[in-house]
Amino acid sequence: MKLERKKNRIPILIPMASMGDIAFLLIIFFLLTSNFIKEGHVQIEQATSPDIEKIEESSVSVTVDAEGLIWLQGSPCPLDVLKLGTEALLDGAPSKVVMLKIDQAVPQEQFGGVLLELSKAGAELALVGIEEK
Amino acid sequence: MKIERKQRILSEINVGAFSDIAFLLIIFFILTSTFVRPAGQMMTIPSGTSEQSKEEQKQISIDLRVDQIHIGEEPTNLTIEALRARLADANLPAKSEAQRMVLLESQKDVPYDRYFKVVTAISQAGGVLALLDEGGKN
Repeated sequence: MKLERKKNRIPILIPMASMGDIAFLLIIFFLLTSNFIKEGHVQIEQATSPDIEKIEESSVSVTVDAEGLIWLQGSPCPLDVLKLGTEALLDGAPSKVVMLKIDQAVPQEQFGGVLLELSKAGAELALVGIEEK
Repeated sequence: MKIERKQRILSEINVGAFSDIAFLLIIFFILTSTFVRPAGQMMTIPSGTSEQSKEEQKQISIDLRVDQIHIGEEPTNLTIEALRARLADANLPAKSEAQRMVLLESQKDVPYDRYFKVVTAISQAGGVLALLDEGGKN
């Protein structure tokens, strides 16, 4: 017996146009919600401690490199304008947390002033470090 | 005269490849991103003067040097582990706000790594850090 093939098949088309829209919306969402590291070019060796916990993330960051240079949001900032610069960034911000990264070799003589200026600016400090194992 | 209408060809732009490009972009960004979850210790430095009240005199004070750690006037040199044990013994979370304050006096040449270990130990023990600077203010 000869089976007859059905003629006039209806081609199934899945509309894919909206998939591209969804994908681009996802890209835009990730770009807007990501926190980009502003001081990626500043190389520091972070301090270690066994008493480490997860800390609140903040968009304001201060870094002190091995040479004692102070970087506010990835731009060099002298100690005498650190308080003003931090106050301006924290003004109106929902959180007063400032992420502070200091190279492990920097002496107290250099980072002590940074701690005091930031506390004068009303910042709540989040000292960033690595867990010691 | 009757004008005949031309049969229009249905034109459609194929956008199927568009979504492929977009998803490739997403995969690229996910793979090349470094997700950083910050770790460390929160620290609030209270502001105040060097004038000591009777209650403040009961506070723990730590003298931090490059190779030595002293609590108060005690001559014993403590290791960081011993300091951690001493702070745990002090049961700081049960004390009042003023008595939980730990005065930290650090010498100028103390590296940040050592300082960080002491500060995180104080915070972990429930202490509130007070810094003593040269001007006598914290």
